[in-house]
Amino acid sequence: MPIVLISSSPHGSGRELAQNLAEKTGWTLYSRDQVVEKAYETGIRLSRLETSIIKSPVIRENLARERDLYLALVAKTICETATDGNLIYHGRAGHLIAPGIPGVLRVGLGSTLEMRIDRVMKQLNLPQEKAREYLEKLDEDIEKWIRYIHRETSRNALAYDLFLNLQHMTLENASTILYETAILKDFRLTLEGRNKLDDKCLAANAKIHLARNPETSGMDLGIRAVNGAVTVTYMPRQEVSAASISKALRGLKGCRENICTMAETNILWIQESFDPKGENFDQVTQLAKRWGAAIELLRLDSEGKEIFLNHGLENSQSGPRSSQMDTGGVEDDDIDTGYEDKGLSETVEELVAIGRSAGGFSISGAAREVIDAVKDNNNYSLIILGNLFLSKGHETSTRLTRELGLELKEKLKAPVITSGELHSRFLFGKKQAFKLLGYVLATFLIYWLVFSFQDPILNILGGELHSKFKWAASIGIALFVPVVAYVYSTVTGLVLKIVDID
Amino acid sequence: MEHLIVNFIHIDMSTALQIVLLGFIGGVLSGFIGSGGAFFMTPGMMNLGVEGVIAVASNITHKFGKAMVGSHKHGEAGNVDKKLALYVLVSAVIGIQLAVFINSLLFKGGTGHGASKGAGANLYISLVFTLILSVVALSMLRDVLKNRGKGDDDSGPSRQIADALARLNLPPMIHFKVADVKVSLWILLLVGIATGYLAGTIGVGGFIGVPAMIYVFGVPTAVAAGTELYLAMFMGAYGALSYAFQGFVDIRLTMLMYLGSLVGIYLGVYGVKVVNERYIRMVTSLIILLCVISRAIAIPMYLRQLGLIDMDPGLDVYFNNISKFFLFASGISGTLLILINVVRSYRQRRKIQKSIRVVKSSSSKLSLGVE
Amino acid sequence: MKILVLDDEKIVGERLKASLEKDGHALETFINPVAALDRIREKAFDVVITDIRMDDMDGIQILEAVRKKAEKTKVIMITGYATLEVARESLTKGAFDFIAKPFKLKEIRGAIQKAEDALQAEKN
Repeated sequence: MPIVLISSSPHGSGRELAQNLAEKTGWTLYSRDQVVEKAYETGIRLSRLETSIIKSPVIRENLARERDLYLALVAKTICETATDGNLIYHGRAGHLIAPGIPGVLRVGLGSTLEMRIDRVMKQLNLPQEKAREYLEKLDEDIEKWIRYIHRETSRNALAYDLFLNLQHMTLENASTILYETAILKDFRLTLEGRNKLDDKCLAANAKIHLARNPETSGMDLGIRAVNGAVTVTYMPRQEVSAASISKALRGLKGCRENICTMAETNILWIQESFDPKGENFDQVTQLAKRWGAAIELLRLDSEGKEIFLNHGLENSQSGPRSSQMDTGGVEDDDIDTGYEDKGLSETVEELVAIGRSAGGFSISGAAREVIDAVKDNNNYSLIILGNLFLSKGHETSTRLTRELGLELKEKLKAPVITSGELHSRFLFGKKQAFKLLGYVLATFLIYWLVFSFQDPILNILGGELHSKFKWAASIGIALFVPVVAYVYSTVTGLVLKIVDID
Repeated sequence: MEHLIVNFIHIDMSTALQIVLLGFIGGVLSGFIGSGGAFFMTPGMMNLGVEGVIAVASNITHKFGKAMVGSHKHGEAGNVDKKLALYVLVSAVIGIQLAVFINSLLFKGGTGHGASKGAGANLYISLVFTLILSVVALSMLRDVLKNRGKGDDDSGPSRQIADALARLNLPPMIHFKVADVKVSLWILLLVGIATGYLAGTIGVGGFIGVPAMIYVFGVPTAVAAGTELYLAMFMGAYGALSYAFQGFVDIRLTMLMYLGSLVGIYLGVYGVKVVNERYIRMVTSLIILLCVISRAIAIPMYLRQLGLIDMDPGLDVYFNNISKFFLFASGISGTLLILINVVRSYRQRRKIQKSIRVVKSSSSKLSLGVE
Repeated sequence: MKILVLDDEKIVGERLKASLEKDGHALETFINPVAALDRIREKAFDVVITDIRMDDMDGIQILEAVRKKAEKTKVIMITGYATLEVARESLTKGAFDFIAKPFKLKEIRGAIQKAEDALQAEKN
């Protein structure tokens, strides 16, 4: 059951290769052009998204909705087309359209600019110079597209499983290599992959569904699906329309249940194992309550093997969830509970109970996998890194956690802290009380000094002394003002934290 | 002893409290609007009898410390394009220098007898202030009113100017990675100098800088705000040190402003999170307009002091009071509008924490295409 | 300015005619590319606004024809199926501007204004 995703530069033989492979195998062929058509039918304003890449130096932030819908549409298309598990997709950034799904084959194609220019001259009837200009500009546009839509660059080698250079290879042979690779066991969609794909599909469906429903179309929603349960987070100002979300999602194909959580913002909490009774849980939920945030849990397994096995076992015990029967409302326990999910589902339940859940899921891997897993739904105001890389030594795990934090911060553009720092930075404890006291005293002292000795100070700043030592005022101000601002802002920051405003 | 240093006013308890209040209102406004706040504090202090230049100098000193603390916090969110900041900074320094030069020239160029000393600078600052901010406020208001009822995606910042300039393609073009824009060096210089000049003159550089980055360069809003704050730190420092060198910084005023502003900023920022975008822009432009009216009313007074128009000096009091009234009306009503919203949502949030719906979908017949 | 609008959806031409004639432009609207092309051969237009996806002929062909016949005429492409590839191709082949449907009238007004400015600049 291979899913082959082919990405090539424009006029770089991607279409021909895909067609050749499809003829060889009989697998379903799907192209980006068809997605474009579909977008038009669905009412997604893809054309605005596309032209804005060319026309604006920066992409308008308010096209983010179109971007999300486009990605949802692509995801929906893949899983709906690959029902029998076979799919050859080709087109712009094809290798990036199924991030985080293990078992798909992501292929890149390289051909020289000269080859492509020849082709453009014939196909578009352009003189050589113009053809070159066209391709160079278009390549630049596409790079921009990949950066904006997929948060990637086309040059990242790790985003490909296979890169074929067509310079010294016939299309026929390339197609053969591709076929031989695609049938390898490594590129069979695992049960884990299939489930992830189904969830992705469900979330995408829900997103498009909600966007097309007039009652919910204008809303800013965070959507995630895990094991058939759709979690939707919405902003407090949208509270009135929240009921329509559940209503709109009722009866959505494949949706087991849906949970709506109101949140001003989202916090992503990444940890290796969760415990709803632990100290960290209290801290994070306390913070979430204060911010009006929903918490999304991500269980990151740095070892990798475990989850795979875990899912395999599930399969043999309870079967994939797609074969569930009509239960008349009496449902089996959630399949994931209890088995090696290290407290994840328990913690999610707890968060649901206090109204702070934005869903939870597991992945295995490192930074790359985390980014792939969350970038579709990325609106976090904070990322919390809990205990990670537990099997490594203390120093190693600290270093790895720090590195992970740096990468997430850069790619997801959200502040990252560790759960240890969380305590001191966002919550109020005994240490903070002492700190507050100290800074209050310092503030008093500074203000008292300045206002008791106004005349000499003003003399330096603008009186007779000033005319003698002009630079003294500058130096004094440069040193003194930051100190005052820092000391006093620490005081106000801490005080407002006590009363829950930050 | 209060006349030891002529340029600085005597501060009694009531003046001190008024300055703290000014700082608080300025803080709320600047937290809410994103930058600025000085547009309220500068004229506010002038109304309390502080000379214009000293009001501006103390304000820019205030901004320096504030931005230093704030930009550190914002830098962590990755919203600061340091390269862009550097370019704007260099050109802004030229602008500030220009402003400081003109201001001190006008201040010292006063005829030197009594009330008219400083009137030239006062008039000049008031004129620039009125002109620039009425343009900003009116275009903002027009934007809000024009887009009324359209909740659609066209309510975002207009790209017309940025697009037109991008098409101009005036070399050399410079690419900024974090903000992801290409901007011509010449346009950069122009905007930078203008920003610096206005910052140095009326202390509201950010008010020009942020919209300029959004509308002229096409920088995303978040990055524009972050970069501006980073910039404000340097520009504030430069302005503060230059003014201090000239002997115009009254540290007492700066410190009293901090007392109010650092509390206000938190509340203002909180307000932005809980109020919708259109309301934000509407409140903002109304506040600025009232401020502008206030300053415009004071202009005849300065004109008289310079001997440019013939008017009964006894009327000064009235002009001053009316001007003061409008200023306080603008700041206080704006702050109240914001604070009411802050308090309301603060209480609401406590109430709605339990509001959650779990809906199990009624049909559990699942078909995922695989039977 | 003399403007020709070609779009196989009649409503597009009608809507543009109604609003742009108010601005003082003279508009001729077509739904048939062949007829439009004939008209372009007869008369010199300042601006040609053309859809891309049509039955007999596509907008790119119209663009190429106009560039050949009337070099000064500015061509503005409008389409609901805009992709980077098509937009780039149009611009490479000398389109003056490219506007994605659905668009607001002010966008097309802006493009026409720019075309007018460009024509003016060429004259001087």
